Order: sequence, then structure tokens, then C-alpha cells
Amino acid sequence: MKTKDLVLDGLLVAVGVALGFLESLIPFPLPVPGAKYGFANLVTVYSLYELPLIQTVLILMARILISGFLFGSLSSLLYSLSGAVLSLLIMILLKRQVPLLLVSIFGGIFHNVGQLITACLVTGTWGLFYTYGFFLVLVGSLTGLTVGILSKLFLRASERIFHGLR
Amino acid sequence: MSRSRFLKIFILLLILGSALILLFLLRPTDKGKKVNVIKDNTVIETLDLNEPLQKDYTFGSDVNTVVIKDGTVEVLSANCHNQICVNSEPISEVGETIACLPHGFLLEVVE
Repeated sequence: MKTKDLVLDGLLVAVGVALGFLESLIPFPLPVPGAKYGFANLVTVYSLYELPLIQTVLILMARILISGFLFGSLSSLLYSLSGAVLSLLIMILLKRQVPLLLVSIFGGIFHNVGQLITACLVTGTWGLFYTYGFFLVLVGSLTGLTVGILSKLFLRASERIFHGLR
Repeated sequence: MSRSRFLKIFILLLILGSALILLFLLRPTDKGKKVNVIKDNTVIETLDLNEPLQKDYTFGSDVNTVVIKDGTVEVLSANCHNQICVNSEPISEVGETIACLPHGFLLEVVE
């Protein structure tokens, strides 16, 4: 791995952790348990489009582990890990097929679906799927859309900022 | 935009829409909520929050008229002196209560 890549990856991890912390300071307007904005996904979407896959995976894992150990507990780590892995898989699958906005929306949805599956496994009650499924898919698509729009702006801006750097 | 790309977008949006509708329909409704009618710390009756009802609870000269409709319960009228129970908003969430302290009369929504 080149030094430039290493620096960029470190920077993106730091941005992801910071965004994750930042969003915990802003109260979520909808009364859905565990719902978050998922601004940190901005970093994942960005690296998915700009960097090789292996770097995207490394950045994601580093961000989750750091955020988990800094702000969360073991169970919250488990939830964000399962959500992030499923979300990333779906986004990789969709990336070449559909526009960024839709990729981000489905990323958001499957982040919540992954967490919901984990919640069902942990508690052993699949009924949770019916109780929260609708809200989590709805919230996931809304936050996914937001992150998608932000990612588009971010990608456009980064073309100028990182021009000549990479 | 090529035709196949448009088709993929369309299919994905279709899946998303149908998933939302399906999950909305599968969503458990608030069935099975009950309301406890409590007089002087004793549950005297448990009513179904989904069955519309109007009923007077009379103890001596104390009267509270309770109404259940649209999954909510409220005190329509009472002959207590402060009328706090009558002025309380209708309740529907588990744990919410309407109290008529002068009469020792309480409504509580339970699972």
C-alpha cells in the first residue's frame, strides 16, 4: 500500500469516526428505536466509488472498530458490524447496475435490515421483523437518500480537492 | 440512460415499494390493549380498548362517565369538583393514565 493511500485511508477513517460521533449529538426526529442518520456511511459510499474495494473494506472495518470501542458497547459493535457488512455487500452488488442515489438508498435500508436480523437472532424473536420492519425500511431509505445526496456533493467536491493528489 | 439500466432502476424501486407496502400490512396493530378501571387502588374492571363503549361508574354520589372510541379512552364527564379527569386528553399508549383524585378513580392503559 502506498503512503498516499495510507494517508487517505486514515483521513477517511477519521472523518467517519467524527461523523459517527457528530450524529450522536443531533437528536433523531423520528421515534424509531435505534434509528440513526448514518452520516458515516458517506465515507463508505465515497470510498466505494473512488477507491479499490479492499481499501473500502479496510476503512469500513477500522471505522466501526474504532467507533465501537470509543463510544459503544460490545452489543452495539455487533449491530453496527452486521449492518455495515450487509449494507456494503448490497452496495457492491448494485454499484455497477444503478445510479449512486439508489445504491445509497439500498445501502441504508440493508444497514437496518442487517441490524434487525441481528436483533432477531440475539433476542430469538422473529416477530421483531414485523414490528420494526416497516419503520426501519422507511427510515433506511430516507437516511440513505440523504447520504446519497451528500455523497454526490462530496464526490464532486473531492474531484477538485484531490485533483493531482492521487 | 440505457434501456436495461432504466429497467434495473424500475425493478429495484418496484421491490422497494412492494416491500414497504407488505411490511406496512404485516405491521402488528395495537390489538389487545386494555384499560384498567381502578377505584381506590383496586382494579374493578378491565375494558377492551378496541371496543367502543360508554359507561357510567357510580360510587355513592361520585359519577365518572368513561368513553372508549377509536382505540382511546377518556373521561367524558364527572361530577368531581376540579374536572381534571374530564380535561385530560384521551389516552391510548400503554402506561398512560387519567386520574380523578377527588373520586379515587383511575384509568390505566395496559397490554
